[in-house]
Amino acid sequence: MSSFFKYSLIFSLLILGCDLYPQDDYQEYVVVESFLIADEPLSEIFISTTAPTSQEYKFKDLVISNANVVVNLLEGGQGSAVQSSFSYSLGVTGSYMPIFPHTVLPARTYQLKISIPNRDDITATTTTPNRFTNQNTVPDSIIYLSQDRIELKIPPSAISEDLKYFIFTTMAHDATFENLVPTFKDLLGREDDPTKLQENILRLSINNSGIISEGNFETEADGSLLLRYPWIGIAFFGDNTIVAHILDKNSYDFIRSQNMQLGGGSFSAGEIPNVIYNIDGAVGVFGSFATDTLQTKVLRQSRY
Amino acid sequence: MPKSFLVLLLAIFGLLSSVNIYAQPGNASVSGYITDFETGETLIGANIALIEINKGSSSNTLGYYSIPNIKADTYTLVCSFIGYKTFKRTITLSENESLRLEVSLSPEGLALEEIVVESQREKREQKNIGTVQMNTALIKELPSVFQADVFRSIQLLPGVKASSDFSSGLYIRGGGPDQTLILLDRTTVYNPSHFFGLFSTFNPDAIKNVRLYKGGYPAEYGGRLGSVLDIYNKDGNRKEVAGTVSLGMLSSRVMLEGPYKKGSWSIAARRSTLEPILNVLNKFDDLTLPSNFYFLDINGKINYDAGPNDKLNLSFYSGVDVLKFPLAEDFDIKLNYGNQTVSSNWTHIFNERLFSNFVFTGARYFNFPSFNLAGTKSTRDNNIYDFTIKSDLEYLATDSHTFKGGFWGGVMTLKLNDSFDGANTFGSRTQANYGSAYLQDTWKATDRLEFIGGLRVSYFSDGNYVRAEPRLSAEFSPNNRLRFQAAAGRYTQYLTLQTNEAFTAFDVWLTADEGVRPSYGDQFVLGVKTIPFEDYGFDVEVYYRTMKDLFETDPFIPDISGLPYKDTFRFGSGDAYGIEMLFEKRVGRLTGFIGYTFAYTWRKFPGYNNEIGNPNGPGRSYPPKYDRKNDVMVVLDYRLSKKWKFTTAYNYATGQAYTEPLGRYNLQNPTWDNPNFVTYQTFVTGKVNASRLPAYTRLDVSFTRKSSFFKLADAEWQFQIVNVMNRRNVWFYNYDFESNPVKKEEVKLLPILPTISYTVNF
Repeated sequence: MSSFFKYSLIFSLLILGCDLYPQDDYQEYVVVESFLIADEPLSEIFISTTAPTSQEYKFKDLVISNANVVVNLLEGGQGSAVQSSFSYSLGVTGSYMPIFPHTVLPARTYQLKISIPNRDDITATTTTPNRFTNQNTVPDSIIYLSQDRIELKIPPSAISEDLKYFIFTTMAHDATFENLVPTFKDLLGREDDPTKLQENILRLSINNSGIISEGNFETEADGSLLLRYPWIGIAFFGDNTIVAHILDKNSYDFIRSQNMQLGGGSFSAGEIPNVIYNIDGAVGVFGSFATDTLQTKVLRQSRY
Repeated sequence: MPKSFLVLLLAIFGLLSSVNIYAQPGNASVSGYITDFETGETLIGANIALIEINKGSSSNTLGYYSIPNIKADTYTLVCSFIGYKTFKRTITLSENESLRLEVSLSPEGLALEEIVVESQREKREQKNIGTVQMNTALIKELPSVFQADVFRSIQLLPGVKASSDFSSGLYIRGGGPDQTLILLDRTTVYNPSHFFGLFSTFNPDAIKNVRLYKGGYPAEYGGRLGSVLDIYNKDGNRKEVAGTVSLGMLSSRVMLEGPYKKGSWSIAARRSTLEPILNVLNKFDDLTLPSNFYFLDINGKINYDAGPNDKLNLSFYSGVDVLKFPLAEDFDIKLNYGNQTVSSNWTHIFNERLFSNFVFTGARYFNFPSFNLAGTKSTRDNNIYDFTIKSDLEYLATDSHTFKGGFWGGVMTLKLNDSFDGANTFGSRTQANYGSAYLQDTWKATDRLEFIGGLRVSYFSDGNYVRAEPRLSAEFSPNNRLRFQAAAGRYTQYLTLQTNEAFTAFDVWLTADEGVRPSYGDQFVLGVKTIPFEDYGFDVEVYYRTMKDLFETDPFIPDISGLPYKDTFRFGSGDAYGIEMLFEKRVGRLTGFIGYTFAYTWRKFPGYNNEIGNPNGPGRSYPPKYDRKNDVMVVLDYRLSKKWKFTTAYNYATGQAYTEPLGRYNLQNPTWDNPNFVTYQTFVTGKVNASRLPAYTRLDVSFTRKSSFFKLADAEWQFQIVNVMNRRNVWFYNYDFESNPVKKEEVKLLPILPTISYTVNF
């Protein structure tokens, strides 16, 4: 009986003391970043490594300079034969640039292949979204908070079967404190430090909507999608450029999961998920967009 | 509705309608209600027995007891209940006599030492497996954040955890708050919290009884994977009009109760009292504060004694939280959420063997948040309506068999509509019919061995699901100081709750449907309940439970507009196991308990928590944040003198789980974002929630002083200090990317918090 209690005690101490779920050690990963934009030249590719969180992060110290980088245009979807290849070389800014220019084609699949000595090969594919152009006429100017709205109309030809996700980026050309719309003026006006105030103005001068689902659009009788641009996206009076991005799956997965890392969604405070990666052999993103650009001037209401 | 379900319903009524099948000629019985002598309030779970033959029972949820099959003779009937003096009476029963004996127990009074004469049988506590009966008086005495709270008192028990100091949510045996069925007078309460989760909606002045089934709950309950919290409002003082007024720092309460010719009534209201403070603070221009912020609730009940065998009651609850917060010009937040419940109950005693209860209930949960920012309004309309009819029958067939059976049917309507900038972005309206029926037999095989076997069958129309849920428990008592218990059962849940543990103002309930199977799980519990010394108890329970087909909203979907319903979820599983110990002293000048829990809980979702480089993997199990391996709680209640009482609660727990980021990188050129700033700073993590916060420890004290209110009524001052040691426990870590390397900052829980309250009882 005493042996039984002795072994029970040892077993209990083991259970109490041992860690059934130990945390991993830091492991260095290769980071790949590239976004292709339909109808625009092949864009740069950044290749670097991660750094431990306890260390200072300096991108230029982490650049991988000896990678062999190729982007292939495939004949069809993923797994199909290569139609064209585009090699890259390291530029002075620490990113890899295509040696020969190529305009990214919409609704086509591109494959990225990276080989680095003494590291695993890296591959990824992206299928660029369909080209789209706003079918509505955007007025030269609109009055803030009026019934007139910037409306984006996407024709059925640009819409595939999959649910589409958008990001809208607004760039204000007259980003000054005086030109802030009342809400943001009130909020930013509470900052006493002029340096921080300027920094906040600069932040607001280019802001984005986050991911918006196609489900927010109304479907017109002809099958096109209609979105009324919300006033919340306008932070400054004056000239504003709005860029509408349609995301591919890779970009959608990366952005939505990265946004959840520090307090998004229904995760408990302190639960940090990894980002959803669609790259073999590395972390990061090889994604693509199709975009369209709108411009208008936002005028003050008489009361402002 | 499926045929199998209807067949079971008919079987229940067929079995129970043959009333006289098991009646044995020549036997007597004694039955009646057990009440508080001073107020007439019925007492739930009071023990009553005949000493000479060691035969007894306990009062049910309506305070009714029955002891049938007694030979004609003279006996000593003894009745006891915690906090009351023992009742003794000699009764003589003749052959076939059905004695109706209403028992009134007197409260203990101011005696500092307890003197009790007990029978062997009635000395047993109401301690079925996994079951805890909360002392409602203790709820009001325990030190708590700002005010007494039912849920925060329950959080002190072994096996029950809180996610933080700011939350009254119940995490019981590894399950989240949605895995506990919360009933108020038999009506489901869907959002039982005020003040963003800081308090529960249950006014401690209005509550009569709180019973928690931590696990392994019997067939008469269903609909949740884990636990049941069964709360009853007071019926009302049947002797005289009485009341309580309590003034606190955060809220104040008033309760009135009294008799009328045919019964009793009670009404209690509670309201936050922050407005004067807000009004003063709002005069300072540099402070941004809500313009309106309050919570309010009201409970009421009226009882009607239609006859000696018929009682009717009607009870209701209504509560709301309102927030209006203008943050800047054209920028405001509004919250309006709450619950309303109503239940009407008819209790009928057919005879000393057959007892019935019929209830009609209605419940509504509503939540209308809205945000307005720079001319863009975002709104949500979230409503749940739940109307049910329930019936329970209890039949004391023989000395060894007691049958219980019943059904629960209802219609649940869930409406959820989101709009953004004037356009509807998501709309869902579900109307589901649901029903369940159960049959249960308590078989006393011998004086020392008892089995409870039951079967519950449930149905949910959305998806046309039928589920069978068998339950079995057993208890063996080799002597009067030792009870061995075991329980096993299958449990099904058709609902899931989308919630934020820190902030419950946006809770949304979602249901199973086509393509969204209900979750289910099995529970296995073993327990030992002992009385090692007189007036002491020592209990140990070991449990293991599974959770399958868990469904919850996919946290990685930023915008659900346009998605089919089933695609908005992720599906997973979990399990939990642990051991709980409770050592308690329930009688005397010093009472209290020491509780210890050692437990694990895990969750797993396909594709989540995969290793980097294995994105299509099955996912790895991980502990949720509220998992704590070791949890110690000490609660002591000491009567210093006739006027002074001291209560303390000390909690030590090993740290909650969190994710320690291991590496990082930045995107260099996110073309859709502001190029002047580094915005996509990304962590690389290892296993989710594989690290532990520092241990949590907190000591709270409370002093209660009885006095009088200008000699007109009894009064009580309560001085409390929460977190006497001012230990700044860590809630979670925040990461400041403006520093390089990234700076980890602690976000802390409550500091030392003194509070004071004053209560008048008249």
